[in-house]
Amino acid sequence: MSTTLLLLVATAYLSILFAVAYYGDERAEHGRSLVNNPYIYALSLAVYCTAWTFYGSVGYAATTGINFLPIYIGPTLIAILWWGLMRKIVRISAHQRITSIADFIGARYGKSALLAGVATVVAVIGVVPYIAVQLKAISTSFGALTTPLDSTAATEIPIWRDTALYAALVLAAFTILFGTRHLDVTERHEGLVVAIAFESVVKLAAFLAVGLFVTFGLYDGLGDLFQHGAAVPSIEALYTVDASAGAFADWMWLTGLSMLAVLFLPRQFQVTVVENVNEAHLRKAAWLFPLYLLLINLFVLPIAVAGLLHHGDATHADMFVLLVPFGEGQTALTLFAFIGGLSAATSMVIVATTALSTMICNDLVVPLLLRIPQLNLAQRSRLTGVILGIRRVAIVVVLLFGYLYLRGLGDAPSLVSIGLISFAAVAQFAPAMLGGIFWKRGTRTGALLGLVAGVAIWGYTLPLPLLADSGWLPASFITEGPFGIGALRPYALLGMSELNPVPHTLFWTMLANGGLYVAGSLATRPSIMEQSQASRFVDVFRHAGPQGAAPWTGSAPVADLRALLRRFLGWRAADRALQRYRTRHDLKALPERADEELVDYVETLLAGAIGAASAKAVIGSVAQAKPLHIGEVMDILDETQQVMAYSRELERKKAELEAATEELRAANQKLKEVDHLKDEFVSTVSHELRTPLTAIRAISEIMHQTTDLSPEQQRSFATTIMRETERLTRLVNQVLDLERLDATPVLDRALVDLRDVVRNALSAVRPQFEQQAIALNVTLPNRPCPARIDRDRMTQVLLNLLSNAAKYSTDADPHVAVRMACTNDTHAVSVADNGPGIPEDQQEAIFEKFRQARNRVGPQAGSGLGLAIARQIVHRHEGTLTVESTPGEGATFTVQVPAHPPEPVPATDPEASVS
Amino acid sequence: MPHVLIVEDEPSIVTPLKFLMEQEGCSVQIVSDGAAVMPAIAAQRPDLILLDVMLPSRNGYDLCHAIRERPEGNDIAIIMLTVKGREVDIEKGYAMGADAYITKPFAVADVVATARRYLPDA
Amino acid sequence: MDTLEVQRRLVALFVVGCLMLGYPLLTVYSVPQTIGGIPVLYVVIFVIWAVLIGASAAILHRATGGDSGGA
Repeated sequence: MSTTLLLLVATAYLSILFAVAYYGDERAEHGRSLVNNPYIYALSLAVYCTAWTFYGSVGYAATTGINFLPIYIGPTLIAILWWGLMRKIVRISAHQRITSIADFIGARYGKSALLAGVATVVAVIGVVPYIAVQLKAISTSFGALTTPLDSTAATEIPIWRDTALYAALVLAAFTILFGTRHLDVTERHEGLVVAIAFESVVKLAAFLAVGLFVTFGLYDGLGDLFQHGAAVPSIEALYTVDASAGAFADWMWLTGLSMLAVLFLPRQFQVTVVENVNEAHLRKAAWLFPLYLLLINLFVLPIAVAGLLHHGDATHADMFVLLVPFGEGQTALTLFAFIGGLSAATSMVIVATTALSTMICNDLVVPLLLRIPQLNLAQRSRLTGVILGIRRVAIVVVLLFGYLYLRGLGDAPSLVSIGLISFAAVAQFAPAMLGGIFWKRGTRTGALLGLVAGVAIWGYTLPLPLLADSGWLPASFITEGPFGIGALRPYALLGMSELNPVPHTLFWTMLANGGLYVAGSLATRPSIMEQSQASRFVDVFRHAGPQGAAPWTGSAPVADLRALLRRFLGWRAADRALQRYRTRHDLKALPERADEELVDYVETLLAGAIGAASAKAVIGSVAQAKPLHIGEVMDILDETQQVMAYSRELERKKAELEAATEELRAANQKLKEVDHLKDEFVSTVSHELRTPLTAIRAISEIMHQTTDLSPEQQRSFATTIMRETERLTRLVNQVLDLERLDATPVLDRALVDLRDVVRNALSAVRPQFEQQAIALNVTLPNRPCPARIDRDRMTQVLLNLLSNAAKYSTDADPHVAVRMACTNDTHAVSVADNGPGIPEDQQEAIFEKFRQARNRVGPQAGSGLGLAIARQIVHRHEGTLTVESTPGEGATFTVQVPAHPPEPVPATDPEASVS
Repeated sequence: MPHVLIVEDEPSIVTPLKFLMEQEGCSVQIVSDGAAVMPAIAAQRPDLILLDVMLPSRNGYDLCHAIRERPEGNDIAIIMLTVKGREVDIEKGYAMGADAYITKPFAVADVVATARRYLPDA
Repeated sequence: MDTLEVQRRLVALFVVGCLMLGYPLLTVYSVPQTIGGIPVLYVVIFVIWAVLIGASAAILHRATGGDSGGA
């Protein structure tokens, strides 16, 4: 076939396309939009079907059977959920005037310019190879019809003869013409959409035509075609699926991947969301689009089978759509198929490039330019031209990048594999997008971490190994890993070699991306702006009405806003927009100062032109009502941080207050306890005082009144009075003692042998024991027990324990055992009686002030303070005073005090040397 | 001869009480443990009980109530003698069935006068 | 039919679709037999696909709202 003929046909087709696009734009200008129609909308969604579908599916089917289908089954399945899912995204985008998927992500996470910029970079890196594939398909299809098959010339053609380059340039021109004709607040391109819909019709018709010709022209229907194929074992193998685990995984992963791709590919987002004029169109599109996918796939396998039957092998399977009719001499059909392939490739390139250029302009270049003070961008009188210029340059650059990628990569990968690499790249948007519309807690940090990690792993495991395939890197990079580190092999991270490359990448990226998104979100606090945007996104259906609440709190002179709008949108569009606002709010004239709602309205309009983050910055400079200064504009961008710092400060103060309150509460509680103890103390002391007082008073009254007392009686009464007086004295002394102990913690400590203290105390009580006939059994160690103690105090403790033991020795055969055990760490002295003992539930209570164990019957001469004082003294010595008792068998009180570290004894002790 | 039961665990208080009651011409029995009171009453019904409240084993309120529960309990006069001098303590004593409530330290004359009021004329 | 009901049915249809057009059911259709000369696998997949589209169209057709319907 002659090159001229092909060029003529291609030119003619592109001319028709121009005409269609122009017609679409004209209709829109006159208010009779073609786009406001669910069928046009559904057809424009079919931009999903690219040259990959048109040529690549047949090539893939020729080698793997129906394994090309997940790419279309995924979108079919997810489209079922569009009414809920996509409608939400469309509604949000309409409210927020979202211009691209990067804008969407940036806007969701607090209008973050950084996040939008990163998303843009990801989109460009991910989609440029995909554009390259389309250029490649155009040049390959051209070559397939103009040069003999199997000629090697195709690999090294000079650049000026490369059809791909010219295709790139022509497409750049078309995109510039219809993608950037004017700057619209809605970022819609009606002519473009009409052209895309037209292309969808062409490619479907062309593919069906080839399919019908193959099925009914060459064979006697589908049955006949498949029967012929069944005769060849390699073809018959295509009729069934592989039941292996690997095929299972591939199928499921690819289905899921293409679900994400159809949602998040920049070009799909452009046609489905940005170009959507009425969300009700989704209702029809949600089943028309899958129907389109079904139809365009219907004849893939038949054409593949026919191609294999006619060409013998799958070497040129990617071009079977052209080669089969060409081989049968069907020139017209072949040309139609060529046009179909061209339309598939061009529609993808045009829409993808438009979407990328919008992103690059709004979310990358403009925010950067706004930060360069020398440019004074916000003060330029007409920015429309600047912005359109940026977009046009971006379109050319993206297409040239695509071309250079193609040249650099050579012929190595197939159409399908590069497409899947792009799919995997845009799938990285999934956590931030899906989390963004369903999970309010997702934060900017989480989204950023997830996205960056996901893309890093994607880059390492998919595009990087391609460089090795193309010879840019050593092959050992894939087989042995970088520097021979096996765990880092790009196709088998950590040795996971069971999955094919794309599922392998998907697994790791989704794990890292999703995991970091959730973890990062939970670990950080959303700023005020993030929270506000989160609720506007997640609860979009709850906020009824076309406009949400104003996020900007402040007012601005209307004149400034008008000037700003004119600068970015042009005079006519700006005035029309303000006119619309007046009409809608029924205002005779706009006020001098704009209220929040009008400011918000203007911001939304600007967002359509330059993206949410930039619009916020620009509006911020005006709403300050000062001469525009770029530094202040940038300050606005940092407002979020300030609010956040302020709220953190509040949070901190609140925590401090709470802590102080808690302390107060504890102190109050403690005071109450002390107060209660004091009451108890006073009442107990008074009780203890009353008993001897009662006796003394009663007896002295009797002695005073009664004159005829016998001398014997008198002495007995006097003795009681004396005893009770002594008791009173003792009591008062003990109370004072207790007070003194409480007040002065200082002990008069010296290094003494504890045995001496014990002996001292024993000698003091021995007479009393003998008098009461109590057997005293003493066991002391025969070595010194050095301790740093207050000798008098410790004696007091031991005396108390011993006199208690005597007091409660009510047994018929009373005896008390004193034992002492010394170690290098502690010395223990125990005093055991065989009295009534102390019930277990009272063994702690007896150490409290004025407490005497109830059931310890016997002469209760004690004040109840003894044990409390004793324990306090022992505690002052860093020791313990404890009791063990079995009721009915006696009680054992044990004092333990720390031992003084022994002096390093020279080995002069004969016994020591023997052992 | 009227019979008086002194329930008190402090020997130094028992001494003057015993002396006073004997001077009034009564026979006196002394119990120092709460648990021994009811058996003592069963053994010999007293006409008057001088009852301390804080006792080992069983407190005076409890005892007072228990005595009133007995069939002959209402024929016994009970005077509570205790250091518990708060309003609530006194009310509780009366509620438990005490005939009189005297707080320690007491004036001998009070005890004698009150006792005479409840003792049958000898 | 209210929006919530539509959503429920669509989600159910989505789940059914995922099962019918995925492993391991695919291996069930993957038999050497043919229907009118066409491999069973090929016929079954496209029939299920078409039925899914029809069912989703039927449910969506009955959905009310769209201009202001809430989720």
